Amino acid sequence: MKNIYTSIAIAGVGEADLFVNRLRSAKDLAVEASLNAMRDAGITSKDIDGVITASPAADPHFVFSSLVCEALSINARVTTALQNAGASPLLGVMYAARAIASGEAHTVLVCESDSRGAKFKGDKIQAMRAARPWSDDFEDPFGLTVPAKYALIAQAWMHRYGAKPEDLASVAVAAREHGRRQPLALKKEALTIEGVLNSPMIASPLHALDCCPVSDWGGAVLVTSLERARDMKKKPVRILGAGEGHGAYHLHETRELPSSATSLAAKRAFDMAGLTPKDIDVAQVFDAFSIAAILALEEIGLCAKGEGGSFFASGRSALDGDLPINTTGGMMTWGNAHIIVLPEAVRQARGDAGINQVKDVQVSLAHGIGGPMSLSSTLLLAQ
Amino acid sequence: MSEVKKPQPVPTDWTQPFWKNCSSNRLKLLHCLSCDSKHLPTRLVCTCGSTDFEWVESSGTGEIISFTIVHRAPDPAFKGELPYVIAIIELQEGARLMSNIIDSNLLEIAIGKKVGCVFEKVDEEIGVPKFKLLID
Repeated sequence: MKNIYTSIAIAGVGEADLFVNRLRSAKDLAVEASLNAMRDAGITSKDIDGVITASPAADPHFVFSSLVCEALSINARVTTALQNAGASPLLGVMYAARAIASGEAHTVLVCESDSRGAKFKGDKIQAMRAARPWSDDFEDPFGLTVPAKYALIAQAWMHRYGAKPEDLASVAVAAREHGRRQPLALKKEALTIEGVLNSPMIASPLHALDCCPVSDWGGAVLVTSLERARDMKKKPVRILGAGEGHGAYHLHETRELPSSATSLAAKRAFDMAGLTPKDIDVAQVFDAFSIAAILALEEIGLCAKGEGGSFFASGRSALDGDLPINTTGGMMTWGNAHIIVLPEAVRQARGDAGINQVKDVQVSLAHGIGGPMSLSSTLLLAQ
Repeated sequence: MSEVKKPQPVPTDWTQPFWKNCSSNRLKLLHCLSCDSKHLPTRLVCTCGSTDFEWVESSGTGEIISFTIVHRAPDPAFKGELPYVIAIIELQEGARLMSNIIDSNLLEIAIGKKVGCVFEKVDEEIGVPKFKLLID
């Protein structure tokens, strides 16, 4: 297969102010993040000819990408709204790269946003269900929730490897260590294993603090040709490898529980780049739930199967550890912001991640997952 | 105040036999005549690529692949049942499904335990398969 990514770069990144529950629509949040990405790259809307968005859940809108194009006054040659949950942002970059490599567009904005913090009042699990526009005959009659879905995966993982709730809890403890250093983080106090285990049970074995908070967010990245990126403000970040992996939609149709689409996505990305997991210097992985981060590490191959929990507990994932993970504190800190992995992975590759910067980053990994087992995406980034 | 009802299956042309059989206490699966595997009607094409199916009756027994005890409901209708158990079950015939484990000691529920199907009748057209722990 021809590797189209060698001629592609990420030229700018930006976020909306996270976790500030002002009254902003998903469109407002997309615009705020996109303008920050344009400033980062030193370009304007007039320099962009493609837009790929995700599909907000709390603030859904028909043809959302056209709404964002209009708000930003972008004359798009290519635009679509993806609906792949936590895999959308990275898949958006891959579709953008394909559009650029084929000549359909030259500079594509990829953004994701939602106003769940502002829109979901009271019981967040119930608010999320009430906003959901579809039903599922093979799940809904049994009272399935999103945390319960991940709990079924967590229970199978614990059973297979003899792991304990403490192993799950160590993910949230490690995330808090990174998160509480962030100037805008709401929670500044350290978290302990006992603190996680004493938080209310949501769906066994997942406690409240095994689950990310619910928040507003907006994030954006600019994908363009390497040639154009060289004329923009920031150092271009190249895509060494990109992969997507797919599994069944329903958990009951997944034969290899707790394994997921992540291993397929990561393998494709590593094969494309000619790299192995040992080459990764810093990784941003999907961590809406503690078990998600553990399985991401295990399936990407960043640690052995069954050892994801002890990887976090031992400090190996810390900023000064041998493989720093989720250097911003991830979704565990900032809420449902799936795209949070992407701007941070780009900054780590550029070397301008501020207080989060890991030393001597050669290869920076970003990972997303949606479903929770349905589809996954991995990007390997470098200067 | 209107009564809060739990979400019920909405049968389609494809799934109607499944729900209707459950309403008369029969768990039926799609049997692939090409590769002999059995499925729930979540897949309308077999994993082998065939669409040549017949409905066959399941033994209704299987084992727990994974489970969770739910403490926070998606909907006010489930609040009265908290905490309740959701499980992934593999039937003897190889097909898997999601369901609830009901009328069982929560402390005894574990991966690998044997379960048997019981049915919750909604009306003449719809039944929902639930499971109970079987005594070893």
